[in-house]
Amino acid sequence: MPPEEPHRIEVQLDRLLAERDMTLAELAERVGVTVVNLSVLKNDRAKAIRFSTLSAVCRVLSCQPGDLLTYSAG
Amino acid sequence: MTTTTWSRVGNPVLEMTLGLALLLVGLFRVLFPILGVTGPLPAMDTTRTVRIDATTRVPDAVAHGAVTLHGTSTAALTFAHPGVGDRLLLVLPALVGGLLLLQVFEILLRTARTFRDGDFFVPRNARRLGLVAALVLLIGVLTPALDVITTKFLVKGTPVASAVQSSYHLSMLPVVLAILIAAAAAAFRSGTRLRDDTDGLV
Repeated sequence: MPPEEPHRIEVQLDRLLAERDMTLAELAERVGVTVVNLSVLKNDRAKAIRFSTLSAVCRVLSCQPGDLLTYSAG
Repeated sequence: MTTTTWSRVGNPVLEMTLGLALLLVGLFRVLFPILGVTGPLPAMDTTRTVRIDATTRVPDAVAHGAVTLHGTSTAALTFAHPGVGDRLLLVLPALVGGLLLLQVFEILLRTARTFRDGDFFVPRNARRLGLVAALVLLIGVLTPALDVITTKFLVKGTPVASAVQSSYHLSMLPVVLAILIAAAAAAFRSGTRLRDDTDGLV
């Protein structure tokens, strides 16, 4: 497998949770994903996200994928 | 990582079984034969089963139609008072087989230890299984070859030399087993790649 290039995607979960006054554990329970996995996502350690996870997070946070994931140009 | 009944009970049992196998092979297939050759223990094996030229044909009266029975193709080559050299030649194929088997169990034990944290689809384990396949193949190929070579040396210069055949017979069971283990190693490599792909997936 070719070596993986570092990505420039930033996850805005911290901000979205703060805006909605929601904890990660609460989100995890409502989304149906483990806190550990959401923590990986929140701390920018995730390499990929399932469409099903993305859909569930967007549904619970009432946001669009673009609100959750942003591209950092530099 | 979720703790399953298997990881709580099965993994320690597997490790203990492999550890016990390692100990038994080390004692009975390696240490005791070596001590039997060098002197502290009596020689464990003073007999070698050999193939011989003599072939008996069942009398026509007993045989049915064209069917014949060939017998006395094997014989026991026994040394009443084998010297150090003879003792070494007698145990060498089994000793080499034992050393290879010891290595196999040692690698399997190291592999089983990685099951503790459920992290077994790692490149190192795929390499280990590949090595186990190679070692098992060596057991099937090298041990019979050593048997032929040492038998030649054992009978060399004795009156029975001309009667003993020295034909090489591959041990099919270890060869088939090696192919299966090599296939498992390939599956492990695929598992490692899959795990790499899904690592960090949420």
